[in-house]
Amino acid sequence: MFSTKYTVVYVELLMVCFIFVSVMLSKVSRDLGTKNEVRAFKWMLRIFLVMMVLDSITQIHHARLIQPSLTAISLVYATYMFLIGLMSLMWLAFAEMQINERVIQDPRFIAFCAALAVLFAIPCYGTLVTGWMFSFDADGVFQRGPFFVICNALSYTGVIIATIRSLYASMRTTAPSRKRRMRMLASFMLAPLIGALLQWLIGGYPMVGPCLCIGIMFVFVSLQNDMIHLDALTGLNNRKSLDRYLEEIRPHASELKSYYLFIVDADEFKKVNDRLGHIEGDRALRRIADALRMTGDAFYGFIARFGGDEFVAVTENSYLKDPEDFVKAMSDNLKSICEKHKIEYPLTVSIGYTRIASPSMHTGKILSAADQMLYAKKKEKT
Amino acid sequence: MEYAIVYVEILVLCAVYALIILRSTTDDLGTNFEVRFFKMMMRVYIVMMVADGFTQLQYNDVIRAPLFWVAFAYSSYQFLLGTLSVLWLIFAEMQISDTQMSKRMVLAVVVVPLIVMFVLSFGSIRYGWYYTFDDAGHFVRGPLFPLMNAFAYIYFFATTVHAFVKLRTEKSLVRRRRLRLLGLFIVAPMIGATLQLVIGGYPFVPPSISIGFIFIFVNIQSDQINVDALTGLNNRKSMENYVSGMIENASEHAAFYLFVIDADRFKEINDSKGHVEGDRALRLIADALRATADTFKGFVSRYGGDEFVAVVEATGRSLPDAFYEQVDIQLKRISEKNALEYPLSVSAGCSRCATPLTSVSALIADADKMLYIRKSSKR
Repeated sequence: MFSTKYTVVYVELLMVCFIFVSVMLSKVSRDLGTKNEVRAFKWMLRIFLVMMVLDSITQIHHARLIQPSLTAISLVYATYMFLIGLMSLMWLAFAEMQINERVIQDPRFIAFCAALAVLFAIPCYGTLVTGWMFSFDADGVFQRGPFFVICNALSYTGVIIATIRSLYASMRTTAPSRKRRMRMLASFMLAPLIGALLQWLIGGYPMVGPCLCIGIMFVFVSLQNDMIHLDALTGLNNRKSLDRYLEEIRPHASELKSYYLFIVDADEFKKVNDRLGHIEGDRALRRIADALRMTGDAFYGFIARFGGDEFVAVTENSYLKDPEDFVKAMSDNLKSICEKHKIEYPLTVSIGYTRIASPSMHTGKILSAADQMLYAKKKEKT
Repeated sequence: MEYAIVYVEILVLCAVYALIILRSTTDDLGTNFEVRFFKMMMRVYIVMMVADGFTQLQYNDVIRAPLFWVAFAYSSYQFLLGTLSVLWLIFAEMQISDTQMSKRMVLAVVVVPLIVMFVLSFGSIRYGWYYTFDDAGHFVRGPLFPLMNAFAYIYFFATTVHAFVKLRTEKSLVRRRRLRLLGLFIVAPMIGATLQLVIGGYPFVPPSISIGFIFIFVNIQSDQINVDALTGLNNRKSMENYVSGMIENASEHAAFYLFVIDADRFKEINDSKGHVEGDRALRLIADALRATADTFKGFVSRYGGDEFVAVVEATGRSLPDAFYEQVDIQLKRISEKNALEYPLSVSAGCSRCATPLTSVSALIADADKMLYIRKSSKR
């Protein structure tokens, strides 16, 4: 039996986790992801908050500071265990949506999640009758049942599937931003894993809660950082990231290891915008971004939206022998995307580029060199 | 012993949070100095957690060590708490008042207090000013004990007062938000300190400071998400959030106008003078719109490219013409002030919303149509 002092500090720890996560929950804005992603993430945090409260109750009960009826406290325990499973399912939903946005419309996925939830509920609440997971002996002391460990492990199913799926996705993709996101999703697993490991090694201390709390912070901060560094409309890197990237590579540029910087500018974009409206204009920009993403992937390049209808791509010379290859690939990709989406007006781009082969060229100069070529090309066209 | 371990767990949790914040504090959080001080605070805080952890582990006999080391760890913790509050003062002051602190000021509020705190904290190990340990190894408060935390909290408190005083005269929305944030930092640490005084024996101060930091960090981050980097206006995303909120509450009594503003011949500026000059032009237009929105107590954002969206409630003044007029006046003033060589003008269109049965994109499309008509009539 632990001292009251222990119980108080235990509950304090849970409350600290509670407050930390509440602060984050209050700042999960609608734009942290798509509507459903945000919803899943928010629910995950809410479930976590309830878990912290329930765990506090079980601790206070454990220290005999309160004496509720056995049924009531069993329900608290059972709900706590069920919520672990549910939270891990929420994480699965969240991660799956990042891997494939449309998964949420797939009835099979919904059915799968619902089945898993029912699967958790049966042993958790069934134990009130069967005592499989836990029961209380005559003195009202918590006793593990024969299936305690199995059921507990089962509740990690969601997180485990999500981890495997995102690891697989991270290996298959070549886009750096997506790779980073997938790795981030996979590494969330570490939080409950370390928590469970510590709990197993030095039982009797609250480990899973704080570890999850850290995991949540980690995810939240990476999502926020992505928001800061990505362009909202197209999901490409934004100008801030471009500036930073150029500053990073510039010192390494040499004749041997040189880079090409491309400026991609939509032709007659103003006309699309003025005649067909902003909404159609935005759509056109997204299509160009898609084409650029495809092209960038093919040459392992860094791509960003520079602002307005201008985009930038940077590639290393080891992946790209002739810059005209990039120009051609970009036009081809854009053409096939336009056909696929049945775009009725002509959507083309002009591309100017420059070579970065010395650290002394500063960002403004690089951009204006590429810009000049772009301008010349534009003139040729008209 | 169990108690000490959970105590330390709380400290570890706080330290890891501080570490995550430290690692994701990128250069764009604020000015160079602000970022440096913010990072320094996080580092000091982490060391503080380590010192407190050692104190607890030793005091509760998880680690056996001579009493000197317990006292040393405890004194370090106290001194670091004082240092943290001084850093906080500097960090907050940089944002509250734009002027640099004078050398005298730095000496009076930074250097001297730090030296006093240092002497008092570490001197206590020997002279027992703040605290001593009795023969049984129990903690006993010393004659200056009440001073120990007072130092730190006076600093936290002073910043809050300054932030709120400044808030009364500040007009810019973005700055007001920041000031409020800095002022509110104190809430959690104050609650923590009160709990510590009343209940004692539990770690209340460390997590409460951590909550303050998380609050600040998370809010600064989300400000960054909602602000356009080039112009400092609200960005498109926050405009969409704002306008959809306005639409929900719209009625004949709570009608508003949405303006779409577009720079005239911006492409020409961009093409003939280059992107750098183009960016400058956008910033100047943003300044003009900000000034205009201020006079109408409205909302203004960059929609993308050379397009801006402003929202003004339909009250009293003869909108929308008064708005157009004000934009032109402001643009003229700013062009003259900056001695621009080329003419800077904008065209605008608007739509009126007095019903919740519409959408952001419909309002923009309507305003856009009008913008196009007005633009063609100019040529």
